[in-house]
Amino acid sequence: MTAVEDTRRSRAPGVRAPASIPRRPLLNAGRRAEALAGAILTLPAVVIFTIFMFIPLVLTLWYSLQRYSGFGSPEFLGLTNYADIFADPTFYRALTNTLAFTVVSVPLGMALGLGAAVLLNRVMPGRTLFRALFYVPVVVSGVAAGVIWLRLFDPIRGILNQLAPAFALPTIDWQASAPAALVSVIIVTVWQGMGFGMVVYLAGLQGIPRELYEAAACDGATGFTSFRRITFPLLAPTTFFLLIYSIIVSFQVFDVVYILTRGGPGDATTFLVQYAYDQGFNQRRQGYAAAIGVIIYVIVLVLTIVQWRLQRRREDL
Amino acid sequence: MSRIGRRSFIRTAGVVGATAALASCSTDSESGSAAPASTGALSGTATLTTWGTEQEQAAFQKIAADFQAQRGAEVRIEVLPYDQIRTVVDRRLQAGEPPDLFRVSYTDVGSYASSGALADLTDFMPSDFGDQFLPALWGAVLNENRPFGVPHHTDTSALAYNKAHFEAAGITSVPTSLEEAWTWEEFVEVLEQLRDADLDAAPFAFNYQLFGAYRWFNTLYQAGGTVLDENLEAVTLDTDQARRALEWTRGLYTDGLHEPSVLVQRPTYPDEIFPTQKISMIQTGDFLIPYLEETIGSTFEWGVTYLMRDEGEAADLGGNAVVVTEEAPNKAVAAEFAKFLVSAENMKYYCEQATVLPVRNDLVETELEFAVRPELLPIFQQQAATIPEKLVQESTSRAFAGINQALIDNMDSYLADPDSDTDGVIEALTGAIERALQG
Repeated sequence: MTAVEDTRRSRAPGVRAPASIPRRPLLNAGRRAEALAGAILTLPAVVIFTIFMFIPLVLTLWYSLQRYSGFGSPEFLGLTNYADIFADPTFYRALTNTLAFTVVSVPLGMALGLGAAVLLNRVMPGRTLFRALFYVPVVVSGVAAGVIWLRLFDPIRGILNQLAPAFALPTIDWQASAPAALVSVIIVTVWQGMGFGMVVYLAGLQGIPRELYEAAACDGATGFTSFRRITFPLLAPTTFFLLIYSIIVSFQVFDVVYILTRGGPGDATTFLVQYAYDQGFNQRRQGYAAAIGVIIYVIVLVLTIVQWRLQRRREDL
Repeated sequence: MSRIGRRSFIRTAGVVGATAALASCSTDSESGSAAPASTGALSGTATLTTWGTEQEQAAFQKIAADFQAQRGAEVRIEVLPYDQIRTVVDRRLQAGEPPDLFRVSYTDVGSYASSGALADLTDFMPSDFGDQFLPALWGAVLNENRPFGVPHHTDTSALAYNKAHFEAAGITSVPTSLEEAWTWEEFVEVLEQLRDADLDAAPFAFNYQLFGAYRWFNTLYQAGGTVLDENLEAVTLDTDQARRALEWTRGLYTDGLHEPSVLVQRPTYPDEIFPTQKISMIQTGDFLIPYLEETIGSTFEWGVTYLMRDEGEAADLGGNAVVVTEEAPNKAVAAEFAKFLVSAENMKYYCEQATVLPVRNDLVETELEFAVRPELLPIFQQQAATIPEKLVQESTSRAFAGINQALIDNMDSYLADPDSDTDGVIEALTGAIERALQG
């Protein structure tokens, strides 16, 4: 029995038959094949997303409602972990530290990335080499970068403190003093992230028509004026993207902090992810750590929605 | 603060031991009622996860090779960095893929055993197996009267010093007996001499980093303080003794007598800096003697003397047990290897190679032939006799891992900030330790 025959028989009595039955089987088969191909092609991504993102996300939500040390059976607590977090002064300290870190490191990293991009957008010898050198820290693992900088910052054996007297500079106890420890983390994360900003800005710069600069030059504009009136405004979408992206990344910073300071001295460099790690793996409070993770997730989700909506609004304009 | 002799340490620790179970394990038998040795052939492979100096690794390898030769089963020695081992082992236990055995500090056994992660070894051991060991340390591997591991060795701290720096600072002698150990005031005077000698080195550094944070309790106990009450149920840090210990420790930092970068939370270990001659004296464990000797080589001469004292003497209870995991793929081999590891012959060999102290009754009075700087070990052995009975109880309590974590989380902000509030850190430590006690 064909599908067409089946459709005719199931029609209610008295209902007029259409003048002709659409001839869709071939089209449907094509669409089905297309849909099947699409499903097959997206399957690996869906499987990977499900295993490594969706299931852990659901489990994190579930564990955030439990008391769980990592061993034995979890005990359901409801929203107690969240209530405890919002009454936990160390959480607020970690949140404040993360915000302070973001406020300093994001603009600094973006400014340096923009500077490097403008510099290396010009025709100059060794341009490709310099671009690569600026980008290398991006591909270095955070742990490796942390270990390298740990050696540099070492107050006794580190090269920074050994060279400081030669330049009449004071030696700094990078890990013993709270402000110095925070500065050391900012230095490393900016060093590691500015290459990415440079590449994104380079792409933005290469989208600006040369004619605009030529016209400005004809009108007597200096280099700085051209930058202020042409480059910077036309890079606004790029800047906006980088701003949101960098804020999201700064809320997730962990590896460098773990290697350099472990959140110390005290909780001077304890950021949100470091705090979650400490609670989950050192204090064996995995439910509590999961709840902190959910809060970080919500913060990043809000930032992502803001970026997505504003990006769409710009595209609509 | 009462001090106990080596032999009386064994006996009294058995009486007052860390747990109620300990009392039932106490014995006056120092000959070690040796359990019948297991000799049957075994098959398969087990993995022991550990950390350790090169000497410790080599000793484990040699004992594993002997075990394979005698019993047929292979034991692979997996070595991890010291400050990562707890995290790695925890994750493997959580994932259901644990090592068969792992090395663990006495202070951590309780939390693993009570969580069900460790195998109850009762069926693998004769009933009098525990009689062979120092009661306090056998008690440390018990949970509800059942053994969850074997005590492997103990260690403690003393002071290692750079002889050239001392000479340059005009310090011509160091204490040569416990009775002559520097008082805090004398110790500070020595450090001031070192500081004022312009040696381009910090005078001193403590070894209380991360999992060794509890070594600060040496100072607390020297001042006459304690961590917990007699029942190990309430925190006793809100005392003048604790305030004095905290302020004295911080004073070393603020007066330029302690290396400022060596704190509690970060893994900057003084034993790594001492060989560079950037620190003149460190508090260090006996297990680091081979490392120091090898690293320092002929660069400079160094010696060891006794810990400083105040109201009393005190040293830390270090050392480790070896435990078998509940989900060990090869539990039988693991349990047999654990017993093999702590036989008199193998414990003696391990202690001699790794320069740590044995925990078998029959080895306590035995003359050990330590492989490296044997002349230094008697100082540690005598220092071990100053481990306070109360500190033994606290160190082997189930909450001690949490107590140690409380120090990691709270000490640095106090030590690194001369303006921080002593009462504030006492309150923070008390709160954190109370949470640890509540589980």
